[in-house]
Amino acid sequence: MKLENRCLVPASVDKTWALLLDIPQVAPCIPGVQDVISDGENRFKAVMQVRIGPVRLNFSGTISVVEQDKEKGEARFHIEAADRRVGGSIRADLTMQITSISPEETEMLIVSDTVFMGKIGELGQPIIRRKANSTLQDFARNLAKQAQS
Amino acid sequence: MIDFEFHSPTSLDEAFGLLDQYGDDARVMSGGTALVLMMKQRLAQPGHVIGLRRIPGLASVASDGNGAVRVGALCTQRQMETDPLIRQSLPLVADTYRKVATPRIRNMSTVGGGLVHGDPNQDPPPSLIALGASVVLSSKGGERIVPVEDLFIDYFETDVQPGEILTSVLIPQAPAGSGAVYLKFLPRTADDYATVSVAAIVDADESNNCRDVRIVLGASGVTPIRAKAAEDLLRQRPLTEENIRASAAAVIGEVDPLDDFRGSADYKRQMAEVFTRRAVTQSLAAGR
Repeated sequence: MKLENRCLVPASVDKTWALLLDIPQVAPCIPGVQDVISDGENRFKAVMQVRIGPVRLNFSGTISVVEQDKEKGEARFHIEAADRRVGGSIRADLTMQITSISPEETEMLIVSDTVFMGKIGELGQPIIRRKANSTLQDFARNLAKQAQS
Repeated sequence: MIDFEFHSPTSLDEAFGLLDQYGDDARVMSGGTALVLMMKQRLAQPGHVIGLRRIPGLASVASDGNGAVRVGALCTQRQMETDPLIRQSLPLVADTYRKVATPRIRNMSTVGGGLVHGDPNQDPPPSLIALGASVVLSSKGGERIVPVEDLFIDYFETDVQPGEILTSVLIPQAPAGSGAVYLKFLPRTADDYATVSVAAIVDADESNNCRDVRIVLGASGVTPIRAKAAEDLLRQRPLTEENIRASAAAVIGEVDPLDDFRGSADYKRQMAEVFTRRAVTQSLAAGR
């Protein structure tokens, strides 16, 4: 499932870039993400609690920084996570691209491509799409707040 | 199905205590028609299930003296269809519950269980919202009354807080002389969920002017949807065919259906308009 979201971060492009690659700081901007710990170079472990309709999911998995190109303002991440109890997993490729709008404003484009496997796939694409969209929007809002603080 | 422990409290206080003790790992069960299915599919995996059946006083239907009816959360949906008081004072409610699934399911599933399940495709919520019904949510700290209209927050999510149990529903009567219908569009089978559904209550004066109107749609978004823009196009206006058509057309902008095997979102939007028009027209005729 491919999604694209844009948002405005009220910070300079340099500050936004630094924040974006500080995974333990930025990951908890995604609603439900907690306990982010380093697991080797450019690799982090995290857990995420999320509710999709009637189902409560407890994901645990890894976030890897696959590529970072400061010149282009582009970073790519790979996320793999599974919920053992419900029996399902996700695999997501996330690309974030930042562009300077003004010295105090940066536009961020988030492109995600996610594969849902197991029980989670049975919940139905329309409802997962809505949830993923609202999660990305919340992430953008929280990131903007983080950048201001 | 996974292992779980079943508790049968005999009082609400005992049930609140169990909810306190087991927190997130506990689920409350009344009829079980929804929860057991979800547990079989492993979509819900509570370690503790708290059955409410042995708690006395939760399955009564009684007039509250002001024209409204108080229905206990454990009343079965079949009871709602057949109870003489409901049939006489709340015919819209009796008719709506008659359209839920099959008699086998209606004999098991309960009024309160259906509401807290929060499935936007269910039949009763649109009619209950149209009538201005409220639910009583009880907890250790007391009771709070929430209009059914505000109970549904998101897809399968309700305003019921941890530690709370829905104990009864207060349903006022429709205004005297008004007409009310619940229409359920069922292109597949008679016991299916609706592709779209509409509850309408129209209160018109002798000159056919609309004193008040309520239009609520089910299966048209992540929660039941009250079509306020469509209502505003009719309230205090003549109930002409032209005005009813314009009102129904406004529903398209108010619903936000999900694509599924019962129809695409676009098809459901079109059907929401058609069934709103029919529901308002039939309610007007029923009130005469």
